[in-house]
Amino acid sequence: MSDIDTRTLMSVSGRPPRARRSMKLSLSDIMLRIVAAIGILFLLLPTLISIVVAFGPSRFPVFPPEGLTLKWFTSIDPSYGDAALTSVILAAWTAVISIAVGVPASFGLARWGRGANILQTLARAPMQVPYVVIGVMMLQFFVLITKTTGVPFVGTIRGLVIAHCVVAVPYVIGAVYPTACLLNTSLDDAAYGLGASRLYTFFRVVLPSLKGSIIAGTVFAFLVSFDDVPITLFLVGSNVQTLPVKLFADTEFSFTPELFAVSTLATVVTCILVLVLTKRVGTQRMSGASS
Amino acid sequence: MSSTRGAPSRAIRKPRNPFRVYLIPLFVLQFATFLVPLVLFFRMAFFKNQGPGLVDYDHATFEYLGLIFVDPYYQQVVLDTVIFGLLVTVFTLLLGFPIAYCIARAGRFKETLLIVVIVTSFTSVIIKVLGWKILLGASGPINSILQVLGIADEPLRLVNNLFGAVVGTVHAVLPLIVLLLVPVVERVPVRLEEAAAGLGARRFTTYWSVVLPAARIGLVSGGLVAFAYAMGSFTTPALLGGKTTLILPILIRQQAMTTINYPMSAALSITLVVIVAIVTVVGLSVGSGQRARMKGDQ
Amino acid sequence: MSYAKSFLELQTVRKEYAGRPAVSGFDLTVRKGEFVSFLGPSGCGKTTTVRMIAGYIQPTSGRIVLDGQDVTEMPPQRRNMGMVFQDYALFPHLTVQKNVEFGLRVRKMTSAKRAAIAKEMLALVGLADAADLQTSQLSGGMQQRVAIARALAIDPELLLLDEPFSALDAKTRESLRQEVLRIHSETGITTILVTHDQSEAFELSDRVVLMNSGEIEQVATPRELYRSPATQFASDFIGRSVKLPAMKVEQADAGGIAAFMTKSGSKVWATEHTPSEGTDVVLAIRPETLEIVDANDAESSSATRTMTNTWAGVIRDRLFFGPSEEVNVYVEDLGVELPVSKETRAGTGDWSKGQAVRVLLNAHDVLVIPAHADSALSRAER
Repeated sequence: MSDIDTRTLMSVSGRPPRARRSMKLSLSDIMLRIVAAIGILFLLLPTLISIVVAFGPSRFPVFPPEGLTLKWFTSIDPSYGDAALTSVILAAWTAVISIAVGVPASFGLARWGRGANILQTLARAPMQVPYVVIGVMMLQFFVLITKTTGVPFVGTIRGLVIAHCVVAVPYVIGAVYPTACLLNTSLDDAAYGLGASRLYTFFRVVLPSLKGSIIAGTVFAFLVSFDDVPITLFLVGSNVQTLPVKLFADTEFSFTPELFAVSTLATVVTCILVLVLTKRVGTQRMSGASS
Repeated sequence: MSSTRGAPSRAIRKPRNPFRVYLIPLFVLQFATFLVPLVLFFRMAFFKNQGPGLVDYDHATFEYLGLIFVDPYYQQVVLDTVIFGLLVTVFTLLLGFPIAYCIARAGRFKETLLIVVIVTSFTSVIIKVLGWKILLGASGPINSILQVLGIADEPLRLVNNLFGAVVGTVHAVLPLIVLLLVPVVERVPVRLEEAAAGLGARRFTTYWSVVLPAARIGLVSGGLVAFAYAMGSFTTPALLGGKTTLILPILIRQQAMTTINYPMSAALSITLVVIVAIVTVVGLSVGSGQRARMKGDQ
Repeated sequence: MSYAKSFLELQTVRKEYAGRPAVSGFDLTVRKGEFVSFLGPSGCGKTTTVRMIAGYIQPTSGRIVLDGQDVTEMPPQRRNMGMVFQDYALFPHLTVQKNVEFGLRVRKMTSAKRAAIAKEMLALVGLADAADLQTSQLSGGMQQRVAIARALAIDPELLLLDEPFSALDAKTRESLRQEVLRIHSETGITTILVTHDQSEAFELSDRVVLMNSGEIEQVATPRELYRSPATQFASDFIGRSVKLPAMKVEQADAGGIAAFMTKSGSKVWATEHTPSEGTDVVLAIRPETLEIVDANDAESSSATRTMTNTWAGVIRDRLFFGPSEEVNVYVEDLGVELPVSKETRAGTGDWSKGQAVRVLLNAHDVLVIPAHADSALSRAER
């Protein structure tokens, strides 16, 4: 029965339209809303608490803090700065390479035709493997490669970039492939017909049309790399330490306000990046690609 | 009409897909840096461990995979991992569906709420873990509230155990599941709910018998994502679970980094990947079976 | 058909998908400056054919010759053809002018030259003022004009229009047709239009290629196609007709009029030349060629013509459409109901149900279709 049918029937029957009942909140409605409100609070609370705690003066982190101070921010150990720099360089390389590989692949998959679904599943297979497993396997692999070629991979940016790309490329495909599927075939056909080569068409027609999702994919790849602990954990070395792994190691063995200050700074940067991006590409594209 | 009839007809040829060139970098990368390392690593599980970090490739063995099946220690770890995964899945869906429902039907607040969820989904695991350590700590806000309310006489142990690990992991996976479920709820037509209300159904009945069944396929796939995520999660349980939460990812790291028994670590990895794969396949077939049944209903 | 010079030649072009022919044995010669339409129902292979001409699809066998050069293996990039798509296919990230300039930019033309050509082309399609707009700001009809300007900007050998009007509303479609007609007469460019709409094909083209199930049914001028469909499919697809299986019983006389015997045993006069006596044919009668008169007036009316078929009938019902109406007359002799289409004019509405009338049909208006040439349609049904 269509919407209109229902309403007509109700008004004919002379009773007050039942649809109005949904305006009045029933007990289950209220319950549902409470659960949802708790849920949102649940999502935000730990992060907010950490940020507040970072401003507390006590040597031992507590909530609520007994005052406000910036001293933990000003006295951050320079090793965190080094780790943060490493993380940024690593994430930037990962993003660049993942985009360079993932964007053409997304377009190729979108245009593939029959069998594209199987290929797409294969392309995203690394997402199905727990990151710890990827971390251990890359460690083994790098050791083996170094043994045969002499080129070091463990404890180098090079090794970390390769390992991160394994998991970041599927994220790029997740962001770009759906948009590439919406890109009409006649668009590239039109370019070919006007004399443009495949390469020219890819760079001058396809890429500009996918701009939004490419930006989203770049940020996804960047953040996947920037936040990773379980893969990086196995591959860092004495000279190369990333921020999340350093924080992880420190959190495992100590509990200092400094950790909160550093995490707060990192989170603020991430949040700004995500907010700007969401503003740019819209909530739909952001939520579609992250899972 | 045409003067050159009977032009030599060329042999039928099978054109190669011109788009394969776009996929070459991807599959080269995945072959060299994913498939090969994965196979090499899994292969270790079938050879003998020869002291820390050494594998004897001359002696093949099923010892390590076999141990996981027969040794009560490993059986317990596998069982704990599955229980952990199930707990996380159940609580994620219980919290995630109402949130997704409210966001999907939130009207003008929808965008704002979505942004909150998106931002939390990208927030680093470490700051969340630190927050939970404060919240769940012996002198933390939650224990204080419980004591003030008289629910608990002394601080409850909420962190560095399974509880802490589950809470933290639910928190980590929840945004992803909400983002996955919002479009699912959006596809349930409001009209269905109005029709149910028009037929005199109470709100609870409407949710239970109209909204949930319509969103069933989405819930199944959301549950699968949550389960796979939980089974593979490492950072949060490692930091919030304490020494008592021994699940597969943590044991895999232990075997690889502390004990340095690579064959065992590989055998545990195979177990983990296989469990996740089995659950995914079973879940997907249940999901598609329901889809077929719903089609039949129409 | 003899044309001065063949410009585009398709020689037994065939396309198979997984062993099934989508286009089989397509032979066609198009002369320079001609406007040819590929007309047919969806899935008849018309789009496949035009895409083979443009080079997007490689034929399985056969040759495509353009201006004396075999282009069968040539990629679309090098064919220099202007293709216009159903969904416009304008580049969303470029302005109107940049869209038109795209093909020129590929050809590495200087920006001044590009701008001049783009200006000229946009003026040609009546969009001189829209150069700096984003394509998303334009209506569907305007977007298609930009697409035509873009296709023409590269000075193509051929203009290929693939269902260019079907995404547009009726009014826009009509005005854009006029535009295309004007552009064709101004530029004189050889044009191929793919369409499923016969009025579109008739209005625009010099010749129509009627296609069905991957094969050519008939190639003819619109008038020929309408007036003398070569196959049953052609008579079914083009316009409307009532069909009567019949057999030739008398050869044509000096006036070219032969006699046919229908299954019901009545004689029908028709102009026709080829088949010999005893040949099975199908006679097709179009509603607008019939005329009805009062049963009593028949004598006076038929007296003024020679060889006019006259049948007695009874009016079954009437359908009023506005500019025209249709009167359904049951003709006992033929055993069929004939729809008679009439323009609405003063004094023409005085027919009533059950009234006895006479139906008149000029022998020249009877379409005679060889029964064996039923080709693709009945093959598909079998």
